[in-house]
Amino acid sequence: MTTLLDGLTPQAVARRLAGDGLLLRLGPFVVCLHSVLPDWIESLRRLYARFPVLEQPCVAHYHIGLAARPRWRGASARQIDIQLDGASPFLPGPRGQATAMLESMINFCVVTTGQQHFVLHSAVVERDGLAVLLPAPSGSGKSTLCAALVAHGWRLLSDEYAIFAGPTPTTVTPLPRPISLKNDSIELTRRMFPDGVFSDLVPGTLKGTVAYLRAPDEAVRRMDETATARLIVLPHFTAGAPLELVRLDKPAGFVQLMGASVNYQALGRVGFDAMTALVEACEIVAIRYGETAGALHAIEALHRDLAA
Amino acid sequence: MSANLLLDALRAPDRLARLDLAGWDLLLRVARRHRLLGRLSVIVQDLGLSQALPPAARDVMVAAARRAQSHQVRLGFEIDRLARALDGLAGPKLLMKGGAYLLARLPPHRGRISSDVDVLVPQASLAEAERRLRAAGWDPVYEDDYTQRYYREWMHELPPLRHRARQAVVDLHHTILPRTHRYQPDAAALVAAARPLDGTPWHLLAPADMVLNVVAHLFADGDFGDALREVVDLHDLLTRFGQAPGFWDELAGRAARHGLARPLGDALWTSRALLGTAVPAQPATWRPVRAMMRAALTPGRLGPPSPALAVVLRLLYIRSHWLRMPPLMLARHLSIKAGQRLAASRDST
Repeated sequence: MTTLLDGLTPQAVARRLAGDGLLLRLGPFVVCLHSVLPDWIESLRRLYARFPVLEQPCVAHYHIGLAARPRWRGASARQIDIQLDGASPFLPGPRGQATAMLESMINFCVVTTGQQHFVLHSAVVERDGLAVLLPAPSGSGKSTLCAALVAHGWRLLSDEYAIFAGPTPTTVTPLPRPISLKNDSIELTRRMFPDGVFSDLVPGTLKGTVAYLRAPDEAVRRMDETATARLIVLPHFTAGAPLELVRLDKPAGFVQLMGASVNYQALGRVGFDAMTALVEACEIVAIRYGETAGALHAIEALHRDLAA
Repeated sequence: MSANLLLDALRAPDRLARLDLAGWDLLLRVARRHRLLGRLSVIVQDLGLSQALPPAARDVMVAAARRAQSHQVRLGFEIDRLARALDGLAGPKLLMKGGAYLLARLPPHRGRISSDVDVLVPQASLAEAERRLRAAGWDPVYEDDYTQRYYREWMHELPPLRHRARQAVVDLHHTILPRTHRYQPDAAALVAAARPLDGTPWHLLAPADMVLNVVAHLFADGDFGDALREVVDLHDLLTRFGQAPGFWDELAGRAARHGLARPLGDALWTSRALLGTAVPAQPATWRPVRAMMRAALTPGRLGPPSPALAVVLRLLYIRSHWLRMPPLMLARHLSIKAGQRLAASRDST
């Protein structure tokens, strides 16, 4: 019987965090969290409530620690540090940013050390077994579009990374972490998810004000159900622009996806073969849109054509 | 337990097949800390253990192997670009450390990820070499006058150069220890003994000198950054070269020639103590610094060093600076660096 995070009392969570670590299975990754920050536990339980907790002994991919910086080191306000195995790749931040720092750290781990899988920087949603990839750089509207699809009944596989862990080159493995939202999209998304569970607002990050929406319970429940990638949509949001669809040929699609790749270079030949197989198996469409509903319907229509 | 998991894996890798989950979890963390994940992935590959590993361990090993492989490709390319930029330079160009291990396919190259490329040229060619690199797109990493002068007047290498487009860094050396260092190896003799690497425009240090370069860097210069990884390099080189007849006498002879006999003794002792390197019987001198180095190099707990170890590390750090510079110069240098740090932290608040 798998224990989920919300099956542990806050005290039990705190004990594990302060002791040998809280082991969480996040899709294909096992993360061991270490912390003695009491005010962060509530946020963690809120956003990761339905994720499986593992028992020691266990091999973790990442040991991540969150700790307060000692005052004597000259920190003006009480600052916290996030570390991967005792080393911190990030500058310290104020306590209120703990949630954002954890998400950034997990991203850092996937990007810098996740080379066991071919990974694209892309949102992934699924319906009827067919996955749609939404590769796009930050600020392109991908997250809002992804949230809209999820609000419209699509299963969330990931908001941030398309992970190809096999067995086929088009198999996407879910990692339904909290959906990250910035500035205006926070309010937009609140309206899409009136019953959604949101983190507190995290102001003052490099990206502005940031918040996180807990992934739908069903998406987390189905974390081990892979999906097959068949459609790749490259979204580009321009306020007020009319809807435009352009189908890309394979070479053009390949080039676009290289821009969204996380570890294509590091994987060398393996990366090239993975990208080739993916591009050959998928329809690749670029969409320019001015309002989300239009893009949403266009994607659903494309998906319907492929599923037929 | 953690003190020996990594050393055990390096000394007696066949025991890895029996390592349990908790062991693997800890071993991966310690190996990562000491930048030996790549090396561990090579060991796992050589023993054919991959399929038998716990899934997360297998993932980490696959990722580490791929990173090392990717790094080697880029390093090879970087060496090629450097060769082009320095083509026609008078005198030999020596490739050192990681670049040399890779090009000559020496045992330390497997799974190794180095940061900068180390090149050594004779003193007379240094200015021209620098000019060519600057012209070919390498820019200085440090702009400030003090750092520039520090390197040029006192160090064994020019201030590092970073390629504009590729961001790769090259350290251009003219000798192997700082000019101000207590130990002054004979750079001309190192160059004279260097051997061309067939099919390449590069020279490599003679085997004994290659060993002495690591010895100098770690045991004379005391740079404990990637220290355990360097001891592994040393172990690999000694194990490979030690098989050649006459090597050990050659090594002792050249160490004496370069004034590095004492650091060599420390290095051989340490390599044998930590990794069981087969070295000839050594005279039974024991120096306190050996115990300190052993403590500093032994992989220990994952958190910050224990107070005792922190003291040892601090003493070794001071020692390395003591060896590097005469006292007055050292005092001046440290106060200037402290001033720079203070100014930088004031600027950032």
